[in-house]
Amino acid sequence: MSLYNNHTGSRAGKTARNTVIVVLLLLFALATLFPIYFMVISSFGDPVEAGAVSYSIWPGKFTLDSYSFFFNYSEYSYRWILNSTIVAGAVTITNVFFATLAGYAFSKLRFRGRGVLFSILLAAMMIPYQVTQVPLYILIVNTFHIENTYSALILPGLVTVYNVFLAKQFMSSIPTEIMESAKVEGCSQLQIFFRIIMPLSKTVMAVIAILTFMESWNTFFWPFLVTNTMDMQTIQVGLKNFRFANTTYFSPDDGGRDDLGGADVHPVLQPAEVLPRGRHRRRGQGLIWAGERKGLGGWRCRRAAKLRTSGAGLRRQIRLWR
Amino acid sequence: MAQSAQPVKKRKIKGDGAWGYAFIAVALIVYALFTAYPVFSAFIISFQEYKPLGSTYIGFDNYTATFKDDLFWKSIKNTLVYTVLTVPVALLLSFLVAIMILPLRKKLQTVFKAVYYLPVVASGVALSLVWLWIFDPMPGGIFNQFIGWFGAHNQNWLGSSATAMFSLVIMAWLSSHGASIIIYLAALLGIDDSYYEAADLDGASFLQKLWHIVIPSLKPTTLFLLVTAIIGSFQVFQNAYLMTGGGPDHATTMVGLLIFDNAFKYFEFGKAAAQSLILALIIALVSLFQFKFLGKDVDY
Amino acid sequence: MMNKGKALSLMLAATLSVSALTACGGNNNKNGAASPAASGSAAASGSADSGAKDTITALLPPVSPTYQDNFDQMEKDFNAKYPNLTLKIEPASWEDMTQKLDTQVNAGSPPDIAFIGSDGISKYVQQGMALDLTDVATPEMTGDYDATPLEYMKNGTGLYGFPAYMEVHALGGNKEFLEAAGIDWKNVQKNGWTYDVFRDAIKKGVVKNGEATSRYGFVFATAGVASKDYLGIMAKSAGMPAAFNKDLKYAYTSKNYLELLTDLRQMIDDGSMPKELSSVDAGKRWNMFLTGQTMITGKGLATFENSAKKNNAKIDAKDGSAVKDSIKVDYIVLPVPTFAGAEPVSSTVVDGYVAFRGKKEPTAEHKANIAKAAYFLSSGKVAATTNNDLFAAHITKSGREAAASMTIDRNPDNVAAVETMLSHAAPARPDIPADLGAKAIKIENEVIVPKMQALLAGEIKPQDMYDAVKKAAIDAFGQDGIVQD
Repeated sequence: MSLYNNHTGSRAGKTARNTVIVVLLLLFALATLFPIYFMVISSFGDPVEAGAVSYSIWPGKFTLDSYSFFFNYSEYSYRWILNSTIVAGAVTITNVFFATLAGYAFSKLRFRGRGVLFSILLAAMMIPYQVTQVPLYILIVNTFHIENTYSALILPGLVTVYNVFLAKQFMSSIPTEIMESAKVEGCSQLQIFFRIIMPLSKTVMAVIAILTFMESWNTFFWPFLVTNTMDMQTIQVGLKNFRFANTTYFSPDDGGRDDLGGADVHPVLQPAEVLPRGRHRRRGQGLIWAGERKGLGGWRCRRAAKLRTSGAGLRRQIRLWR
Repeated sequence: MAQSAQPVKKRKIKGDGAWGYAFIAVALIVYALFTAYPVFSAFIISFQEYKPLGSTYIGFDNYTATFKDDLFWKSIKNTLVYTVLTVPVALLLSFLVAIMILPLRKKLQTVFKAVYYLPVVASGVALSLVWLWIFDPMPGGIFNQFIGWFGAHNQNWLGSSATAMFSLVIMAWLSSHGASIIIYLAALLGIDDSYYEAADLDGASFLQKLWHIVIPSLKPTTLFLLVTAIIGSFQVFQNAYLMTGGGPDHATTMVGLLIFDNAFKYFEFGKAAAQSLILALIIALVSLFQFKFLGKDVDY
Repeated sequence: MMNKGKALSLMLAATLSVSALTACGGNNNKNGAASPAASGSAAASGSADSGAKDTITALLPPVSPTYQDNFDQMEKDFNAKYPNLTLKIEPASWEDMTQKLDTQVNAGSPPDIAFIGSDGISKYVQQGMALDLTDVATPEMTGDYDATPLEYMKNGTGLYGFPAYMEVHALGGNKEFLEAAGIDWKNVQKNGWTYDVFRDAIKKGVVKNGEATSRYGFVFATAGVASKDYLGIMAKSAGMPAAFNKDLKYAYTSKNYLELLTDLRQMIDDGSMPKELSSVDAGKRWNMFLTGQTMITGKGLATFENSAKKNNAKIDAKDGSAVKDSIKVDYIVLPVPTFAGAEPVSSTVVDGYVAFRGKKEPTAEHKANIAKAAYFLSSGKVAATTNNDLFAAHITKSGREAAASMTIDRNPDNVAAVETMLSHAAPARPDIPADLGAKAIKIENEVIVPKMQALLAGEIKPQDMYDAVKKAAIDAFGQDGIVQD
């Protein structure tokens, strides 16, 4: 935060600068938010046929019909939300933990084949999903026979290469010396990870958590593919199946457009509103996070950890070798 | 300090091995099963004429057919153009927005983070419908009204070769950069204040601090965002599929769309697999280049 | 905050919950999974109508507005009719249905039945995944259907499913505007119109506001999913009712095709159609119709009459729910004009329930059950309700019976017009071999549709497009495989 001059200039100058910034941000936000605005506004209108969409900025009629429609439409509505929550929640937890672990290993630990393994991991990201979809489906359905179960929804996404890569990049900014000196103090690798690395990585863990949760919540095609019955579908799948009745007038030949009377916007938005606020507290702390460390393990290691990760300790170290 | 570091380092190399493998074990297993295996299958399929009831091996036929296919090269060119036009701008925008959010109070930061992340949440199909309205070729379309103020003729945005790609690019610029912004912001907040203090002592200006401290510190993050953005952009297909269908006259046909058509419309799965692998190779080369250029980790 | 103990317990909890969830897979039982051949092998021995339990899976999109509401009822009724059989319906959405089905087909585990258009059948036959029902479809079943729609579900010598309805693709006109332009639409409905008559008629429908056109004579959706429709529908009435003629030569290289392209371009140049036509999609063309920006709109399905009526009611209610700026419209069904002096041939689309097989060949018993299920879904009460909702004609005797007791509210002139058009529906072509069909589809996607977009945008000339199509056809079929006149 000291990128900007906090101490020079008057209070008014600072406020003025911040105001200008806010205005600029708002303008840009407007441009990106406009489509969302339109979606939300339409969701307050009548459930209408896609072909009869009114291209207007303000809805002619305000009604919560679309929302009640959604909750009354299918007995499975609540189940869908539950499914999405379970799947997204599970995937988030496993990703945060295991991706951070792997990212740390790839970044800081030296072991044979580290570079090669990582490149292989990365290479697989480059194959488009259209082609890997069928073999993966064969694996899930024909080989493992777990279609239409939570496993099919969760397992493929347990740890993603994207998250490992992200963690690795963030880890690279943790000074290696911390770990070396912790080792000298007698910490084992596990202790180093849990006591030192994890507390220092709260930022990236929070980022991984949010991105993973949102992506899992919003993903449509894979859950659509592997579920056969309505009680196992996630919210995105369930909503798309039950297009509001009128829009089907335009199918099959018109391919059935998405209905803009989209109450599907609302439930989808909810986690987005809740989650970021919950995590932002941690994110602000960045690397310097001094916390309590209780529990098992050698007292020397404990003491070292506390010192290494406190703000003063970190600064001392940085200055020492700069 | 250097002397005492040496023996420590030696011990480090020996001890790390087992732990390294242990830590990456879970990630590796999940990867091997659910990512590597399908990719490997795709590799095998690319040498076959795939039929669910029994495929026949046809060697490199799929590959040669792809190399001879004009449409494939045109789509590669389209995809390259799209990538070059959208990725750098997207990164720059995210960076700028993150820099701008930085000095604000915590609460305001949160508000803006949520605001910018919101579009990520919206469904691509519903969004594309709104954009179709924005790009409406009739004089009533939003964009046309906008340029009408400047006295320009209304354009057939998505229907004419000259403007179709441009429209898709604009759509990408104005779409959500939420994830990149959040990542950049997280990285920015992780830069230790002591650097700024030292620079302030030297009397550095805002721009100098930006250039000498912020940008180098963000190198790993930038590399990550760049690599993933390029990978994603090369595989893009949803926007083209929904907005222009690849037209007019293949002006916006992307490789992803071609692969999709081959796999699902024409049921030529082997061909699609071959095209995917060629695409992956191209992406890998580009990524390699990026790693060489930006990859040297800023080690403290 | 995170120490070793806590972390370990968290990991343990996560693993435990994941494995617990793994075990509970929801109501679905492994039995009902998407492999057709698994069940049904039980009582292979003995009696013709054996009581062996069997499950048939069906992947169904929202065929009509109330279709998916009725799923539970349909499953119950089927089970009541055949107590040993269970029908398991998987709901899907229109856009994604094909992709899911195709993934499942490619993986070798498709559902037993899927609701798709009959033009997709050749694709699956070529893969060997479509199930031939000829030997299990009883005469009672096949006799129930009208001949033409049933033909559409055939390919080669096999019958791959049962048709649900046959829809005519036509145009839709605004009664008030038609009459103001002096067009005798009743005559047109009965006797059709040639291109020249049509061209003049739509010119009369144009209303200009200075330089800008406030109302066009004719609009047809050409963007998005509608991209194949325009040319496809018009070509049928231009002497090319199918992609291949009777001798299995590719038809779109005939001079009629060039004339058709020139005529289509001419209508835009006349000013009767918007020059931005290539960006008008399905939603836009309906919006333009409702807001009075066009006199005639395409493509028009009979069911649009209902949509127009609904909007009219909303306008009357004055509650702001009607489409913004819309006017009251009386929807008139109009036939497509004929080109190059050809006979009128209506573009008809047959959608139905197609049967699939998995990696393992299904038992004869299971095949018969699939036929029973497909028949149940496409005839009798289910078909009657569905088709009524769609304003589609009934194509089964049993459907007509069941529908006799249901009331519908349609303009009798429109009903008669649809019947007339159905009487010269494009004949089915089961004789077109699957691989020829596949090549034609490829040409359509890679050459025809993109070039058409460019033609409509005024970027190429009709001759250019014709040449491109001809070249691609020669590449695919050889000089002898195409029509040369």
